[in-house]
Amino acid sequence: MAGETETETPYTRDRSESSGRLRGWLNDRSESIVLGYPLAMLALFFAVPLFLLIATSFYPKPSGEYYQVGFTLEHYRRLFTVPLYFRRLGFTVALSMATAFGCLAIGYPVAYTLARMDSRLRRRVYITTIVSTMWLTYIIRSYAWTVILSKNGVLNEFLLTIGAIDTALSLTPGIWALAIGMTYVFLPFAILTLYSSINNIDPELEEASKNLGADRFQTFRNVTVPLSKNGIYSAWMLVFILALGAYIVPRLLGKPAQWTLPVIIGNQSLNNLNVPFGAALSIAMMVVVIVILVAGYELLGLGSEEMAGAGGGTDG
Amino acid sequence: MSRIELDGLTKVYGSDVVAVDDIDLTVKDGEFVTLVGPSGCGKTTTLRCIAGFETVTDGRIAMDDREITAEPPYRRDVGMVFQSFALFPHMTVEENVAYGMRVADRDFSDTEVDDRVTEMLAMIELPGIEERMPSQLSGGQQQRVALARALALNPGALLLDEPLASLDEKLRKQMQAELSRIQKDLGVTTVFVTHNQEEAMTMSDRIVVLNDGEFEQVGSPDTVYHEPESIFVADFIGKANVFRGSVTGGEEGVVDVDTDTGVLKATADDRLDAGTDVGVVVRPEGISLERHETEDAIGDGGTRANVTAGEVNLVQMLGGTVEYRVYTDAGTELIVTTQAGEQRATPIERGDRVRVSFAAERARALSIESIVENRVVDVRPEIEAETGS
Ligand SMILES: Nc1ncnc2c1ncn2[C@@H]1O[C@H](COP(=O)(O)OP(=O)(O)OP(=O)(O)O)[C@@H](O)[C@H]1O
Ligand SMILES: [Mg+2]
Repeated sequence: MAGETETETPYTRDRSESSGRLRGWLNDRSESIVLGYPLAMLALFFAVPLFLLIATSFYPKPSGEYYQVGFTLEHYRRLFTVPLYFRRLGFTVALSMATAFGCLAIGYPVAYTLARMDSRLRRRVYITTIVSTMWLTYIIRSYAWTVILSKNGVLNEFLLTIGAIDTALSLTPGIWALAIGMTYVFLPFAILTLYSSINNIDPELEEASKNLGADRFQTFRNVTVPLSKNGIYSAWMLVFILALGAYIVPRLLGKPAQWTLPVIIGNQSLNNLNVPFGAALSIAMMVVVIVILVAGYELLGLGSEEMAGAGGGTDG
Repeated sequence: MSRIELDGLTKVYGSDVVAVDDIDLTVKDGEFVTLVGPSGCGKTTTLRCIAGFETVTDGRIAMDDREITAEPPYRRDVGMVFQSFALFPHMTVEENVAYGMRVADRDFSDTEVDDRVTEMLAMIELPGIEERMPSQLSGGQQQRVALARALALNPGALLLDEPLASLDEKLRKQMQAELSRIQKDLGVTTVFVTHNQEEAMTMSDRIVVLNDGEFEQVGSPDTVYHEPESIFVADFIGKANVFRGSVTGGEEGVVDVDTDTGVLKATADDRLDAGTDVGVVVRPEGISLERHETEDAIGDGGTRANVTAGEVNLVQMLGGTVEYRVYTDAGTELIVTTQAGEQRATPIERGDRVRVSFAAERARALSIESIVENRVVDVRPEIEAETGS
């Protein structure tokens, strides 16, 4: 008995000491460990690529090569002096904004209906259906619209049959096809973002509003919309950013005159081998986007305290 | 202020959940009526029907002589306080209280609105909190603001769904008094929902005991407590001792009931035929205790009715009263309360042998329907287990 305790005691003490030492080491560095991981990931996936992008935009572009390490302002001069690029940028931003507003206008009623649906089963079926459309690649979905909107497509046939038009419309490629396609492709993102935000609003708040004499529209305007403000902004922003980066949809559904900046960046980098100029275009786009998002955030007074409880979870 | 009339009100959820089953109730002008009952008995549903948040399956609802069964909630003249308070989190206290005036068809001037808000905040004794957000208020303050908001438009009736349930004991007592005061001051017709029977007893003009979507009893707190019409009511409102047995005979409103504890004499409102299964209900304060040292038969040979012997299991001081748990020789546990001031030569303590007796007038025989038995199990399983059958 005694021997056992004697051999056991130093062993246990030893172990607890070493684990204590490890714990001490961890405790001392816990802060840097906890913060270090996200910082490393941010650096790896965000800061480094961004830095490379900025650096590349200043590299000279000798003909026949992608780029050469060096320094030149040539690409930025071209960007600011050739009006085409800023016009393309303006068009891209306008199209993306319109897409974002379109998605909000269509998505909000859908999301609201989903959030206030009594039957859980039905709600799940609808949400699954909406999510499942996102599994299809953009190419397939854009082609589907090409087919629907084409000269002898379903839409034209329908309009001809009911006598709304005499000759088939040439819709695709074109600005309407592009707008419809963009809205369709990004709608699920808006719906899901809005849904989770509206779902967070206690239905009793809407009932309280009606109890106080507000009709459906007043309740919607005074209670539902303000309480889903964060969700509305998140959905708008998400669609706006996704739309800005869209490459396939404008390429397939738009005429060359309606190609967005990403298509031009792609052409510059891949066809003209002008990676530095592509980088400069990307940075111009990024700056504009950041300005728009920050302005929007400030303008709407989002992130204030009382909003935190309502739909804050969807802050993107 | 208005009178509320419910006429055959029925609400069925889906195809088979009968939440409210054909109830008739008239709440008089200025009356404070409380709906009590166990969880899921349909209290909230009744209130939501009156407020217009549920489409009723059958029956009609009227305020004064205006039928409002099909009116949307925003065209009914009722104010509601929700259990969650449902204050608008994105509006200040002032905006919350003024909300009804701001959305009203009638144009209120800014000074009118300001004055009314000030008046309401004075009424709830929270002046000067206009600019606060609901998140900056305590539970009790939120509760008062919700009340002020509901009353700002001077509604014909006030509906309250367990508004005090989320408050702690002390605050709840305080708010009960506050609420009673405001209700009396304004004379507003009030329907109050709670599953706290004590709250119902202290605040109401009339109590409606609901069970499974149906009324068990409607009456003043006093009537419901002293003259329960069913074992369910006796058990739900206040504490009750229930002796199961069957009627063996009787005369003139008093019946003999054969129970495990012997033959008990009890009053009965209805004629109860011999052989009817009944429960004899005695309130804890209706029973008296005496020391009973000898082990032998009780009093005059153990044949007298409404007397039995037992041993004290537990003595608890409850404020002004003392509560005893007595385990009788017949194998049931009884609750007995006496006034704390009632002096005895030697106090009765745990483990003492006692003689337990009660007058026939303090005991009520209520017939047991099979359904009622199950309901009793739902509410107070320990009583069921103790009284046996
Ligand atoms: N929206 C609904 N859909 C289906 N059934 C419901 C719905 N709301 C309530 N019920 C059912 O109706 C019955 C009565 O519910 P109600 O909410 O009125 O009870 P309650 O008396 O307020 O209970 P509690 O004290 O728990 O609040 C319950 O059986 C409940 O499950
Ligand atoms: Mg309820």
